[in-house]
Amino acid sequence: MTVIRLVLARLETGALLSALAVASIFALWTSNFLSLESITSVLIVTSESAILAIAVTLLMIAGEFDLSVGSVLGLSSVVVPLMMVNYQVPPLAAVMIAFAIAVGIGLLHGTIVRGLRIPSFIVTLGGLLFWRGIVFVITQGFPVRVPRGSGSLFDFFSYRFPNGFDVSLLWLIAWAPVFYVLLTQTGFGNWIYASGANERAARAMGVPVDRVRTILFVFTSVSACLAGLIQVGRFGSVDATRGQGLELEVIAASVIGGTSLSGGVGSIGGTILGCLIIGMIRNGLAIAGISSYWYTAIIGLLIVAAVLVNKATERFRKVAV
Amino acid sequence: MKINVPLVLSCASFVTASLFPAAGLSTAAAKEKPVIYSIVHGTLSDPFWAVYRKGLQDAASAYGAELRALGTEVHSVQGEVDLFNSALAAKPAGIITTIPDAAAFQEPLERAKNAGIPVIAINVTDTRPKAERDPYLFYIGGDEYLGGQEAAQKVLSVKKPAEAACWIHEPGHTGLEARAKGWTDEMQKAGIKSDTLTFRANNPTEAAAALKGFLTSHPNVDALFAVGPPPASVALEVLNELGKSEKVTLISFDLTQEQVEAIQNGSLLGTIEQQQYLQGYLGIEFMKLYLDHGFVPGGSVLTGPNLVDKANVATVKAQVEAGFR
Repeated sequence: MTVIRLVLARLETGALLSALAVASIFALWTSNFLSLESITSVLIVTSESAILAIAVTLLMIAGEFDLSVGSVLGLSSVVVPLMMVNYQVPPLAAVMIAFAIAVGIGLLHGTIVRGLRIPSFIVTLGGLLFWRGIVFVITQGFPVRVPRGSGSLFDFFSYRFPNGFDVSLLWLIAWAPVFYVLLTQTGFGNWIYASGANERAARAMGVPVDRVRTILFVFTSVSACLAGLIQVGRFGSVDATRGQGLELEVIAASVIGGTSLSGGVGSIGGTILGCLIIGMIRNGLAIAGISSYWYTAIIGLLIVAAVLVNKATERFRKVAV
Repeated sequence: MKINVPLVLSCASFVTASLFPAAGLSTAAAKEKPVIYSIVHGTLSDPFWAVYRKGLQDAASAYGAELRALGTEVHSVQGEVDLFNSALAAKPAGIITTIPDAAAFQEPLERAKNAGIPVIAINVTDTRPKAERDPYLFYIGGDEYLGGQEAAQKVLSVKKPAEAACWIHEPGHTGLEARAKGWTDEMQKAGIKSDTLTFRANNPTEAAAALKGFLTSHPNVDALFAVGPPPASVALEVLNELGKSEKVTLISFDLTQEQVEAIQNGSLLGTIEQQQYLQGYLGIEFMKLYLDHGFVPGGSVLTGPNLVDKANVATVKAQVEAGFR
């Protein structure tokens, strides 16, 4: 009984059970869901979204939202080939500039939220529209292609091997443990949880809540930039709509993975599982030939189900604590 | 409130299983038929794809193919490539797909070629020379650039605009960009300046406000090219509200019942049709012919441009009502 209680007390348990259920349903339903081509397709989608969702999760645990990540991803992606094509900037320098822009955007969002005491939902909603608008302005709606001969640097971000696996999976394997250790093994991780669980108490204990959140806004923007560069490597071009709608998808993945919308609760493992579930559903529906319009409806159902499961297992976590 | 976790999970599984019983049965029942995927970048709000889908379904029934028609929820090249990758994993007999971004489709199309899965491009494709283009069999669809040119020529045949504009409702869509380029080039040849508008039309209220703002700040604009039904619908309403239906000559691309009525009542000069029913129907038909006999046409199969105006709208109207155009 104690083992079951301990398992149920883990935040990732609900997401793990859901992932197994989704995988089982599609494996029984379609004949090719467990093929190498299918698995690698799911992992590509999962890796790209998880790299971004992990940072978004940390911010949500700290009690804030970032709705601008899709637009920041779009902007970071567009800036790199545009600088290479229009200003002959070397690829590596263009990539560094894109990361610098992402850091600047994160700092800007964090500073506005902290300095002007405006809810992050509003600030980053403004960011979502503003940065997307900038993408449309600088591209004039036209897709931008990565110049030929600059592939080796972008292969570093995304390259699909003949067996179907993509370098983006290696990025996730490198990225996730860093954030896991940061969240669970460091004082900064404790500050993240404390900031979201009870802001007033955290401040009373000397936790630099504003600084923690500003750093996390930088993390989300930098993660968006990295995910964007992975997509630049994968597609070799960027269109003006790149990343649109991604903000809600990564928040959905976080919630499905057990992250609380009211802060203080969440885990890296749960979020990766949330991304995996979303990737499997998208891929499984396509293989089965079911219209992807169903996808939106199913994700909606899953979010509500995830919250129900998390509520149901909450008491086990309290007992375990 | 206490929640029974196993019960919740069982209910979720039941709901999921009961949502798609037909698909599972059809997969089993249709084992003999070749599975053909269709993947498009279209959105639910665009009625264009409903007609295309009817063409697919009619041909699939006629030629005995199992059709799996997929599309993205919103216009997204990334989303379409992900769907294409999933379709590859299903190891179908063939895939019919739009190619709105040739660079993004290069790698998945090469994977399809290596896996021996034939691909036919429809609706929008790689416009580079054959030696450089992505590996697919051939293209079925309209010539977007020619369509834009024809729209401009039609307007120029009735008046010389003081200033013109072209509205792209899905920025980044290479097919729509080609239509706009055809229009702009033709207007420039005639010495007329043409602005390009790039706001989206999926929220008609916002799009109407943006168009009103543009027309108010550009009072000389007296010719507008809407590159698809969603912006055409918004433009018709805005011009009517502003009382500019007579001053601003409106021409559009593709065909819906609303556009047919507008051509009849004179608020729309005409529309350039690409006969998307044919793109769906011929896509399946040519794929089946390729699978059965290896037939490949000598070049692209053009389904447009075809001008619909007052002269032929009565003939076309019945076909629109029946869902063929």
